[in-house]
Amino acid sequence: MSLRRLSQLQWIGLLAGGTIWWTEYLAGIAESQVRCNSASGNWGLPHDAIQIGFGAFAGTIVLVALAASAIVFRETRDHEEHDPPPHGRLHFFSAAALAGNVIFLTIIILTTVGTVVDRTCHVA
Amino acid sequence: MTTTVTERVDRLERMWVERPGVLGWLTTTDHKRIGLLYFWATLVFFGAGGIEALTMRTQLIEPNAHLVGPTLFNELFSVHGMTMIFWFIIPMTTGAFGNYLVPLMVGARDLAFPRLNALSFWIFLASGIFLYVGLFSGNGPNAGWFDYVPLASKVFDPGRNIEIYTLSLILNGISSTLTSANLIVTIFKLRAPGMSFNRMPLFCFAFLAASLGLLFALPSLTADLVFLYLDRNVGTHFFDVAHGGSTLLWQHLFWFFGHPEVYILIVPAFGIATEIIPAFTQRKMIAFPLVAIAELLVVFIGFGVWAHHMFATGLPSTTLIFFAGATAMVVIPSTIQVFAWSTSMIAGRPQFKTPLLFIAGFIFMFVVGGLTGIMFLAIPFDQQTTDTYFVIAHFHYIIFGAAVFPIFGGMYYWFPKVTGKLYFERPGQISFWILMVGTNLLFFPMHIVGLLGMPRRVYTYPANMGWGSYNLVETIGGYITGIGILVLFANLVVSYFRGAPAGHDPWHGPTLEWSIPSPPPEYNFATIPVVSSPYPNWDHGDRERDGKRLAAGEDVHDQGHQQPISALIDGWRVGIADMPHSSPWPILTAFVLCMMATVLVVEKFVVAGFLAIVLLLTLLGWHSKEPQEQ
Amino acid sequence: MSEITAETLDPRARERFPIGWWGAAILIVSESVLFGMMIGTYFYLRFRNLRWPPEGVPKPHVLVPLVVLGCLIATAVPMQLASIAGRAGRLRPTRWLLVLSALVGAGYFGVEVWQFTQDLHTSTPQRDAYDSIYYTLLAADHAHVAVAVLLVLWLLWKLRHGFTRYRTTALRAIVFFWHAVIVLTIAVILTTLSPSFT
Repeated sequence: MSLRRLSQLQWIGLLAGGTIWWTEYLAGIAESQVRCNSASGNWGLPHDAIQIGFGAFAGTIVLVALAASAIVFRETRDHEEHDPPPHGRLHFFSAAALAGNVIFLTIIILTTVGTVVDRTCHVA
Repeated sequence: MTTTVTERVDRLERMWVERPGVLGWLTTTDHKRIGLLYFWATLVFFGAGGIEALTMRTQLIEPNAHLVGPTLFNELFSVHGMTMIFWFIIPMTTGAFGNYLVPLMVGARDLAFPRLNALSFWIFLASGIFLYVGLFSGNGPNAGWFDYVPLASKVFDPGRNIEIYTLSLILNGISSTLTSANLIVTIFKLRAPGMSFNRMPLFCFAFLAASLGLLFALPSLTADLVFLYLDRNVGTHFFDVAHGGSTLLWQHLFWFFGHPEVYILIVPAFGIATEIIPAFTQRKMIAFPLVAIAELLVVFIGFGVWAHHMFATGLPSTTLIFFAGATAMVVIPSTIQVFAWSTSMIAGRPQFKTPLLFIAGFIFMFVVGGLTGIMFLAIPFDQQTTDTYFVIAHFHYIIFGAAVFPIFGGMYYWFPKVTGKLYFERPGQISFWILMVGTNLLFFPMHIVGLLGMPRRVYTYPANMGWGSYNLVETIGGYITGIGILVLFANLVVSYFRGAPAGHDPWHGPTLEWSIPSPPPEYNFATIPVVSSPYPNWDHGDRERDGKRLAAGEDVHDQGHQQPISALIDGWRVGIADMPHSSPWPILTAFVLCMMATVLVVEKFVVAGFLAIVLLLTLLGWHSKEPQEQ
Repeated sequence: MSEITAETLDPRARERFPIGWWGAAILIVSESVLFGMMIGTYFYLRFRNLRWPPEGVPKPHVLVPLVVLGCLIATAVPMQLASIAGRAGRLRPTRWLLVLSALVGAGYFGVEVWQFTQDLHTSTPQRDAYDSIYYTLLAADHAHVAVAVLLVLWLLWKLRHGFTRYRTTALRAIVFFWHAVIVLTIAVILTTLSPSFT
C-alpha cells in the first residue's frame, strides 16, 4: 500500500471516530431534550427510531475508522512505536486510534441503548 | 577563521544573558525564570488555601463551634476552592512545571511566545492579588467555587463579592488561555529534529492534552462569567427566570468548563508520573501509544460528561443517561494509564526514592478517588450523595491524591535540575509518609460522614447527628497534613542551602533536561539536540553525536536569540526564528488589564473604556520592535 | 541510530505555517468556542421560551443586516488576494487590497453600530432574556469586527516601509483572523435574525 494511502487511512482512523462520536452525542442529547420538551414532545416524532438511527450511523463511521486504523496498524506491523517517521509515526497513530475508536463505539452503544430503554417522556 | 567551541558558547551566553537585579526579573521572558516566578507565587496561594482549609477544619472539629461564623465560612470554602484550583494546581502544573520543563523536554530554547509567557504570569499574579484584596476587604466570593445562580445573583448576594469572583476568574482565565496557547504552539512547532509525535515524551503529551483542554473549556466559563457580571451590573436577564432566563444555563456553561477543568488538573500530574516512573525503574513506559492517547482521550471524552454534575437538577433521565454512559467510559483511559504505570513499576527495578514514593501514593489515592467517582455515575446514587461530604471525599482523593502528590513528587524529582543540589532523602521519605497518613485521616472519614448525611458547606452541625468523631479525626488529619507539607518544604529549603552538588544527571533520567547542566544555562542547549526516541537521554549514541556537532560548532545558532522551528507532525527542521529577549511590555499590559478589572468592580464603565484604549496603545508599543531577519 | 540529523531539511517540508500564524489560529479557536457558547445560549434560551421574541418586541429587521453582511463576506476576496500578493512580495497591490477591505469593514461596523443604536430605541438588553442575548451577541461580534479593522490599519502602517518576514507573517495571520471574523459574523447574524426567518 502506498504511503499516501496509509497516511489518509491514518487520519481517518485518528480523527473520524472522535468527530462522529461528538456529533452523535450532541445530536442525541438534543433529541432527548426535544422528546421531553412539552411542545416538541407532542409532534409525533419517532424518537426511538431517531436515536437508533443516530447511533447506527455514528457506529458505522466509527467502525470504518477502526478498520482504517487496523489496516494501517497491520501494514506497519514491522515497525516499532519509536521508529523514524513516517512508518513509526503511522504505527503509533494507528495503535492509538484503535484504542480510541473502541472507546467511542462503546459510548455510542451505551448511550443509544440507555436513552431508548429509558421510558421517560415517552408518549403512551 | 575558525572559532573554538568555547568562543561560540561564550557568544551564546552573551546573547542570552538576563538583565541583572529586580528589573531583570520584572522584564524577564525566559521560560525558566517565569516558571520559577509561577512556582513561588503559587506556593504563596497554596499556603493561603491551606490556612483557609485548616480554619474550616478547626471550626468543624466539634459540633456547634464558634471559631468562625457562617458569613466568613462561606467566604472560606469559596475562596479555598477557587485558590486551590485556579491559583495553585493549574498555575503550578502548567505555569511552573510546564513552563520550566516543556521547552527542555522538546529540545527548545524557550517557549514559542516568550513575551506572551511573561504576560500570562503577570496577569495571573494580578488576578490573585485581586482576589485576595477582595477577601481581605470583606468582599471575598461567598457562593461556592461554582457560584450557582440564583444565590449569586444581585438579589441574594448584593455586595461586591461576586464581582470579585467573576473578574478575578476572567483575569485568571486570560492568563491560562495564553499559557495553553504557548504550550500548544511550542509542542507543535519547536520540537528538536527527529522528534516526531511518536518520539515525544509522554510528559509533553500530557501537557498538550491539558493545554488543549484549557483552550476549549475556558471560553465557556468566560461566557458564563460575563453573563453573570452583566446580569448583576447592567440589568440583563440571562439567569432570571421571571424574564425568560434560565438558572440552569449557569450550570450548563459552568460545568462544560468545569468538568474538563478537573481533568486538566490531573492530566499534567499524570505527565509527571510518566517521567518519574521510567527514571526510578530505569525502564521505558509499557504501552507507550496507549498511554499517550489515553492522556488526550481523558480530556476529549471529559468534555462530554458535564451534566453528571447536574444529576439532581431535574433534567430528564433520558438526557442524563448520555452523561452516565460517557462518564462510564471516561474511566477507561485513566485505567489504561494506571495499569501501564503499575506494570512498568513491577516490570522494572523500582527504587523507591522520594519521587517514586509520591507516585506510588498518587496511584493508590487516584484509584480510591476513581472508584468513588464511578459510583457517582449511577444516577440514583448520585442523587442521594450530591452535596454531601461523600463528594468532598471523592474530589479531594482525586485532587490531593492525583494532582498534589505528583506535584510534590515532581518537586523532589526536578529539584536537582533546577537548583543544582540534591535534596535530603530521609526527610523526603518522612514527609511522604506523614502526608499519606495525614491525607487519608483527613479525607477517608468524609466518605462515611457523607453517607451518614452530613451536607457540604455547613459551618457547623448539631451534636446529636453522630458526625462529631469523624470530624475530629478529619481535623487531626488536616493538621498532620499541614505538618507533612511543612516538613516537605523545610527539607527543600535546607537542601537548597546545604545539599550536595547534583551534577547533570543524578537519576539517569530519560529526557533531555538531564543532558544539560544543573541548573540549565539560559540558552538551554548549546547545540540543538537530535532525538530518536522519547527517552533521548538514554540514547547515548545520539548524545555523543550532539557532543561532536558542538565540537565542530554545528547547530549552535549564536547569531542572535535564535530558536529552530520544526514541522508539525514529524519534527523536520523548517527554519530558524529570532526570539524576543527581556521586555517591559508584558508587566505593563498586565497592569492595565488589572486596572480595568478593578474599575469594573465599581461599575465605572467609561473609565474601563478609556483603559481599553490605553491597553491598545500598550499593545502597539509591544509590537513596535520587530525581530531580526534570519 | 538516528536517520535524521540536524542538517536534514526535508525538501518537502517548507514552513507552511509560521508560528505567528499558529498564534492567530489558537486565538481563533478560543474565540470560536466563546461564540459557540453564546450562540448555544441563544438557542437554549429560545427553546425555553414560548414566545421568541417576547410580547412587544418586534422581530429583527432582515434587509439591512443581510446586505451589509454580504458586503463583509465579499471582503474575503480582497483579503485573500492581499495575502497572496504579500507572499509574492508585491507591496502596492497588497496595500490597496488591505485599504479596500478596511474601508468596507469599517463601513460594515458603522452601519451595524447605527442599527444597534436604532434597536435600542425599541428595546433594551434590560428588558428580557431575549434582548440580553441579542444585544450581547451582536456587541461581541461588532467588537471583533472592529478589532479586525484596527489590525488591518496597524498592518498598513507597518507596511509603509515594505515587507519583511515578520510583516508577511503578520499579514497572513491577520487575513486568517479576518476570514474567521467573517465566519463568526455569519453565524451570529443568522442566529440573531433567526426569529425573522421562522
